[in-house]
This record gives sequence, C-alpha cells and structure tokens, in this order.
Amino acid sequence: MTTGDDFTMVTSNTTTHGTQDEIPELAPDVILDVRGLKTSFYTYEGVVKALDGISVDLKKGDTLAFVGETGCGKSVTAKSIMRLVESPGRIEEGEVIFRDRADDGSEVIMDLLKLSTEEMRHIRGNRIGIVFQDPATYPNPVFRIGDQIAEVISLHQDLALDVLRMKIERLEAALAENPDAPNAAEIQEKISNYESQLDDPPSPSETDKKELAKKRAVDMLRMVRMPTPEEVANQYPHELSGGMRQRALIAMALSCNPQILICDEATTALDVTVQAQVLRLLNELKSEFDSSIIIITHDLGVVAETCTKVAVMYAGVVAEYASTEDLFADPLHPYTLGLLRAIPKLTEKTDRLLQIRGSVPNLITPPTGCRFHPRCDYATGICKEERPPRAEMKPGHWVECHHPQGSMAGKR
Amino acid sequence: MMTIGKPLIQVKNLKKYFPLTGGVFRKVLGYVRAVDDVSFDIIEGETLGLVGESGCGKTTAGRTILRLIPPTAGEIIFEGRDIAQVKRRGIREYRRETGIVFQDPMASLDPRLTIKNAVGEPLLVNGIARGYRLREMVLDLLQKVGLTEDHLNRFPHEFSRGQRQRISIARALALNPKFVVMDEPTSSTDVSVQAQTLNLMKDLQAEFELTYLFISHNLSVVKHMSDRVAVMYLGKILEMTPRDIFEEAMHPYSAALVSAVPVPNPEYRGRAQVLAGEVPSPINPPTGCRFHPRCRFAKEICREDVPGLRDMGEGHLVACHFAGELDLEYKEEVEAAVVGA
Amino acid sequence: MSIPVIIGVLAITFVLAYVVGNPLAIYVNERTPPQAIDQIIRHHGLDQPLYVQFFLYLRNLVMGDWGWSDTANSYVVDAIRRFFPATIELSIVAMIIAVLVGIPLGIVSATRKDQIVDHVTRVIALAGVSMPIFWFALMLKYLLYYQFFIWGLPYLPEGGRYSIVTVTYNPVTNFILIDSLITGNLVLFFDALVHLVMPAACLGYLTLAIITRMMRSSMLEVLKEDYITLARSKGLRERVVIYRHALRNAMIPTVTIIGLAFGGLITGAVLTETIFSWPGLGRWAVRSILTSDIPSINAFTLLVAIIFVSANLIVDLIYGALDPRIRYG
Repeated sequence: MTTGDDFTMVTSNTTTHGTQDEIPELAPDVILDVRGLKTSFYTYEGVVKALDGISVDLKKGDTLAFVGETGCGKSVTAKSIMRLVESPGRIEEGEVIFRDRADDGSEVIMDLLKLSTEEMRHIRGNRIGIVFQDPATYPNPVFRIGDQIAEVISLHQDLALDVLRMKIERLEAALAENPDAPNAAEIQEKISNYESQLDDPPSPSETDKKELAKKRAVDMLRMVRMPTPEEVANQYPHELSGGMRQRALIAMALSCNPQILICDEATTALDVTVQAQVLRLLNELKSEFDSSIIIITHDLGVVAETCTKVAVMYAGVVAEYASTEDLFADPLHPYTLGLLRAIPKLTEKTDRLLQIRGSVPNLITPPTGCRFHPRCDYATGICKEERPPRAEMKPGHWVECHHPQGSMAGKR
Repeated sequence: MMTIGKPLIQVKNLKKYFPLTGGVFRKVLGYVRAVDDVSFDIIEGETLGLVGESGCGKTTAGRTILRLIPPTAGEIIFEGRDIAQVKRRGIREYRRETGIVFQDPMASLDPRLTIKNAVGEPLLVNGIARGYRLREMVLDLLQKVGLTEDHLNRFPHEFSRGQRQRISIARALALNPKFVVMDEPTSSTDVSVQAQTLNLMKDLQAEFELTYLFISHNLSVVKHMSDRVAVMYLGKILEMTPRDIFEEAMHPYSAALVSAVPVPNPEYRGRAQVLAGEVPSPINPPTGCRFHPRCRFAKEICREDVPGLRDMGEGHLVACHFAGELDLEYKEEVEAAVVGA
Repeated sequence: MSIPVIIGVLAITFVLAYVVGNPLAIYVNERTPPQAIDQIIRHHGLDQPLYVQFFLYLRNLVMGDWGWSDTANSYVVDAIRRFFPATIELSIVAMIIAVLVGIPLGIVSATRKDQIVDHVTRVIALAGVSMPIFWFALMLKYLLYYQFFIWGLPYLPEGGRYSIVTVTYNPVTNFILIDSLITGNLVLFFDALVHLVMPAACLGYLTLAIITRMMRSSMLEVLKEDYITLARSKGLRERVVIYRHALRNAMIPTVTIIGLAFGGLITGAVLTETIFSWPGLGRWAVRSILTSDIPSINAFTLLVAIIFVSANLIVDLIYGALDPRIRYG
C-alpha cells in the first residue's frame, strides 16, 4: 500500500513489525502525522483530559512549534509522541504515524502507538531525539557528559565496522610513524587480516566499543560548537554552565542522527543571549543532520524566530495550525489573536496590553463545546454546545473555531 | 519623553560583595561582586526598568536598595537620608515607605496565613489598624487588585498563580508606600495572566502615584513598563536610557541583548547577534570594561580602563569608551570572525 | 569532626570511672594491706589533680595500657584482641546479609510500587524495625535449632563460634573465617560459617529492614527525577534505567544509613552475642557491666565510639565516589 512514487515500501521490513495490522497511509512528504491523539491523567481528583484529539502533521525539513500556555498540553503531546507519558497518564486514542528511514535508505511507515516496547525503544533516542526544558535537572548528575552521550551511541549504533576501521587506522598510524619497527611485518599482517574482515566485521569487544562511542561523543560535542569538547566529555554536568549543559543534551539527542528532534521548552530556562546561541545552533544543525524539528514553547517570539509551522494549543486542543508567516500575519482563532495582543513587544510601545479575561480552565471538567468559549469575545450559543470541527479555512491553515476572525471573519 | 523630575532615591557608588568562604576556619577566599559600584537616580513617579541576564546582580541591587540586605559600600539617599547608614529603627521607618513584590508568590506567602492576615500583617505590626478597621482596609486593598470579599479568609494554595501575585501586590501596597521594587513579578506567569498583572501594576501606579523599580530579565516586559531602562551586566550598569532601547541601544552589550530577544513577528527573523563565550564569573570579573572579552569592538583601552557612564544626550547614559562611534548593526562577517576566534 | 568526638568519649569514660565509685576499688580488695593501698594510690597517680589524672589516662591508653579486666581475667588489650575479631566477623557477615538482601528488596519494592511484592517487602521491613532483637533471636533458635532437631531436619547450631568438641582451632588472627582459610582447614571454615548463619541473620535483620525502607523511599524519589525521563527518552531498557541511572543516585542516602547502622550493629551485638553465647565484645561487655568491671566497660565504650567514627569516615569517602558534586564541592 504505497502512497507515493518517491519511496518504496520494503515489505520484508514491515513484517518484522508484527504488531502492525496494516500499514497506515501517509502523504509522501510527511514524516510524522499525529491523528486524533487523546491522553488523560487519572488523578485522585478526577480524569484530567490533557489532550483531547490532537491532529497535526510534520513535513520533512519543517520546524513545527507547539505553542501555548501552562497546561495546554504541549509537553504532553511531546511525551505522547515519544510514549514517555508516565503513570497516572495514559494515551487513550489516536495514531502517531511515523515514516522511519532505516540506515539502508528503505522506509517503513508505522504507528508508534502500536509498536511493542522493544520496538519503541529502538525509535527513542535513535530515530526521534528529545531535549527537555531544564538543563540543571535533566543530565544524570553522577555520570560524565561524554559517557552519557556514548551510552546512546553504543546502544543504537552498530559499531562493528567502525571499530574495525578504528583498529586499522591506529595500526597504520603506528606504522607510518615508525616504518622500521622490528615488528613492522607483524603489524602489516594484522592490518591485512583486519581488512579481510571488513565485509563481515566480527562483533567488537565492549572496551573497543566504549572507546569508539566515547570518541563519537566528543565529535558530537564538537558538532554542537562546544569550545573544548575533549575536556567537556570528561566533566560532570554540574561543572558546566546552563547553556553548555543544554548543548550537551542537544548533542545527546542528535548523536544517532534522528529524523525528528523534539525540543520541549529547550531554551526556556536559558538567558536570552544563550537562547539566541542555542536557537541558531538548532537551525544550523537541522540542515546539517537533515532532520525535522518539533519545538515546544510558550514564547511566540521563539516561534516566529525559528519555526516554519505553528500549532497553537489551548486546553488540550490544537486551536489553530498554520505556517508561521500565515499565523502571525492573519491569525484566525480568537485565542491566537488574544495571545498576540497580550504580549508586550520589544518592537513597539503600547500603553496598555489587551488582556484575555478569565483564566485557563480546569481540565477535569473542561468547558463544554469549544473549550475557549468562556473567555472568548466572539462566543455565541453554538460555541457552548458544540465542539467546532477542525477545518482548513485557507490552504494549510487549520482552525477549530465556529467564528474565525482575521481574513475569514464571518465566512463560516 | 520623561522630563527630569525630582529624584526620589539616589543611589551612589553602591557595592554589594558576598564573601566566599572555605576551609575549616571559614576563611574568606574571595568575593562575589554582585553589585559593583553602581550609581543611578530614581525619579519620583517614574518606573525605572532594570534588565539583565541571570547573575548580573539586578535582584541583589533591588534588595540592597530596600535595605533587605546591607550594602558593602555606597549611599542610598531617600528623602535626604542616607539609608545605607541608618540603624534598626531607621530601617523600619524606611520599610514603611517601600514595598517589594517577589517573583514566586507561592514562596513569599505563608501557606498557613489567610489572605486577610497576610495582607493585614504589615498594618497590624505597624499599629496602623486592627479589628474591624483592619478588615475594611484589607478588603479595600484586595478590591484595588481585583479580588473580592469572598477571598478574605482563604489560604494561598486556593488561588491561581496570577491571583497570588495580586495578593503580593496588595500586601506590598498595604502601608501606602512611595516606592515599590518589582522583582521579576511576572516571569513565572503565562502570557494572558502576565498581561493582566502588568496592566494592574500600571493602573495602581497612576492611582497611588507610585515609583517603581522594575527588575526583569525580559526586555520586552521591561520596555513596556518602564520610562527609563537600565541594562546591567556583571554587577555594573552599562547603559541607562529614557529612549527606546530597541531602536537606540548604544552599548554593544545592550545591542546584542536587544537583538537576541525573539520578536513575535517572522519579519524580524535572524537579527540575533550571537555573543561568543560565556558570562565571566563575578568573583574574578574582567579588568577594564566588564564586557570587553566578549565585545567585538574591544580595543586596548577597554582592557585597561573602566568606562564610566557618559551622557549621550537626553539623559541617555552609556558606559562605553566608544559610545556613539560604533556601528552596532548586525553584520554577518564581523560576527563570524568573532565567533570563530 | 571525628577527633572531637573521640576526645569527648574519652572524657566521658574517664569521668564514668569516678561516678560509678572510688577508682581505687578496682585495685584493692578486703585483704589488701593498708601500706599497699598508699603505694597503689601513688602508682596510679590517684593523688594527683583530676586533669593530671586525665592526662595519665590518655597516656596509658596511647601506650597500650588499658588496664586489667577482671571479667576476662587478662589485660584489657589482650581481651580486645580475643573478643574484637569475633564481633567484627559477626557484624560484617550481618552487614553483608543486610546489604545483599536489603538493597535488592528496596529496589524491587520501589519499582513494583503497590504490587504484591511491595506489600510483602514492606511487611518484612516493618517487622524488622519493630521486633525486639532478643525475641527474634529466641524465635529463630526455637525454630531452626530446637524444632528442626526434633523434626529430624538438618538443624543449625545453638551457639558458639565453632564446634569446640569436634573441630580444633588454633587462633592466628582470631578471625576464624580468615584463619581457617590460611591454614587450609575447610572443615573449620564451613563449621564456622554454619555457626554464623543464625546470629548474623538475627543481628542483620534490623539493619536489613532499615536499608530496605531507605532504599525504597530514595529509589521512589529518584525515579521521579528528570534524568530518569531523559534516560528513558534515550531508548534504554528499563533495567538499565533502574540499575545504572537510578541506582547510583538512590544509593547516596542509603550509604549514610549503612554507615550509621554499622555502628549500631556493634551495640546490637550485645544482645545477640549473649543469646547465641558468642564469645565477642558484646558478651564481654554484658558480663563487665554485671560485675562493674570499669576498665572493660570503658574499653567497650571507646571501641564502639571509634567504630562509629570510622564508619562515618568511610561513608564520607564512599559519598565522594558516588556523587561527583561532593568531590569538588
């Protein structure tokens, strides 16, 4: 069941994912498609409906933002995609369709929510990397930075061939340095012996693997522009500044060359100048690694600065989903409009901010119909009774609202 | 913009050093120069914004000015008295004239005190009101910040973040102070709540003729709230301006700081001047201009001489040897050279 | 920190000798001639001011003259040489049992929170901290020695360090397990091991319970930490997440408890040794207390203090190894 010509489905691969009943459909340029995702938390006070049917897709090479206020479900979305929602949370419904590109270039389409735990482990840290908010609490305090990165590398990558190459290189270097050594012939023989194994490399010893992984970790630290990567690799997290730690965590998330990098409020705890460094780095790395990025943030500035697509979330619902240019130029949902007017802007001087009245609703008993209606200036009777359908008002501009504003005002 | 009025508070050469101790005998190994020789005036009725990154000393400056912590050196002149020198009773009197709103309202409100008692405490302690009169006054304050009579006997955990911040504001205003320090009042609140709080603070300022020192790391918020903006870096004020900092930053650091703020408008994309390196330690700050190791314009003199604040017109003060002579516009090739170095 | 503690204990033990009675009473009995008493007073410096006497007391301790023990009928130093290894052997085996069982129990209990395993573990731990050690010891003895003997099952010995009647033992270091291994006497080794099982299990149970509870709670705490989420997000197996990433962090508070508990083991040995007729410090101390043998009591008190202090020192060192933040802080 192929959905495009520019890729081929490898059927033998799909059969290995025995838990999939059928291969889901996916548009050719889409890498991740979240469909009707629902996640709830079963607390003592009641069931918190944190996500109530999220549908968003991520195209290859895009940077997608989930933006919204505390408790809107943006972080839960990230954790649900990674299946890292912890008890008492539960993913109830929906699909997370992911196009996995294997190392040999073949592609497999799968529903992440239907994978077995083992299969999902293979996705985490390998195909999808995640960077979290607080660089102070996320790295493990008792392990060296380099070891923490090397751990992911040796977990997901088959280092057999590279270990062999490393050995050959090392011997050749020794030989080049001292060609007249008494055991030169012996070394030469060893090299040719190793070279004959190149087609079918033997599984490497733990120490060789560790050494190579550590070397790779240093390479990764260099990749994220760490000033002294060798030194940093041997340091513990508390010896680094917040910005450096966050870069180390980015290195960790990118170390297996993932197809998607999720940044869950990755720059929120950083100072603006450090944030600028990290955002710049992410933009550069995206093209270097040929991956797509999901950014989760509450800062519309970060969205405008780095993202190509935006999903504005409110109370567990994607209120509006559009390209960044379109969203900022022509916000259709009253909530988006309110948010944009409520932020103080550096570029202009306003006397008063326009505020959204009321406060974020309790998600145990969310408002009926449209979840924003009690705070909305445009709400009518229907908003209270019926949840608005997800509609594409303009090409690529989706809104969940009975009374969209902006250029679509009154067009519904 | 702001016509120069009468200064309410004059801060002169204020220093606050925290000793670093170590070893068995708690020997002083060095000092954290949190605030290092800072001078400025706060004009009556204005809002002075104090902006800077974490560790720049802005919070310490705010607390020292309120005498919540004693200064190491310098003068704080309030209504003709040097507050830096006064003793216990003087400090108590001074505290009646001042108030503070902290970043985390949950941490600054006693969880076991009802709102009536929390807000009424300063009134009671200072013998201003008690009993029925106290209740009236507290209720009046609560209504001023948008809360109602039902809230009087509730506890802090029953409120949302935004409401708690309103309670802190009410408490800060209980003694009818002249001067209030706002220490990151909205940095832990969401955008929609932040807008409500900021508007409230502006309204209250107009109503009670308050003078604010508004401390925040968020440049957009500071700009929105302030008549003048002071930029701090490593314990020093580098620039202080009544002008629009976004348009007219004159210090290379302020310019970089301004450029790094992401603006919610895709048209402004990619204007960030990325600073090389990290903020140096305030224990061993760089010689000369504090910013010189990261400054792309740094010359020999910057390493040696500490630049003082110079008036560049209209009270726009800049602490840079080359203020006004630099082209601070973002240029990719210049930056590439600096970052690469 | 440790030196003031030791000095404090020294002062207390010194004063103790005066509080309990005339220090002269140790050296004399009703048949001592009066002239000899004067000589004894002068010899032991009992006519000197108190601070000089304290100094003399310290000097004697350092010189290895800890006095005469009536209970052991030998010099205190010799008695220590005899009894100390027995107690240390017992305590170490007890500690090994407590750590080897307590830590995995705590981990299992934390990772399977509110499941059957957790409930069972918590009952075991609760019983451990609430049962008096002597009662538990008697119950063990009743079951594993008396009842097993009656039922004709392989029963455990009732007390003692080894079967004195059937096995010969020539002490070298007084640590039976070590001695038997260096002399290659495997019969003695296994005999001693069998003798150790019951007293060690009994002595270690309380510590086991404390370690289990501590491990469970610190593990639960650590599993909520952000770095565990990060470890999971890397795609690590749950086992690796728990045993590599969580365990080391959770061990940090547990190690403190283990250190403190080791000192506690030595004092716990007083009861255990008495019940299992274990010829160690504890039994000696009990007998000394019953006969007001002051030098022996002092020696026991001092030894316990030294063990507490060194256990704390070792804990600090392990701490540094576990937590890099402390190493540099």
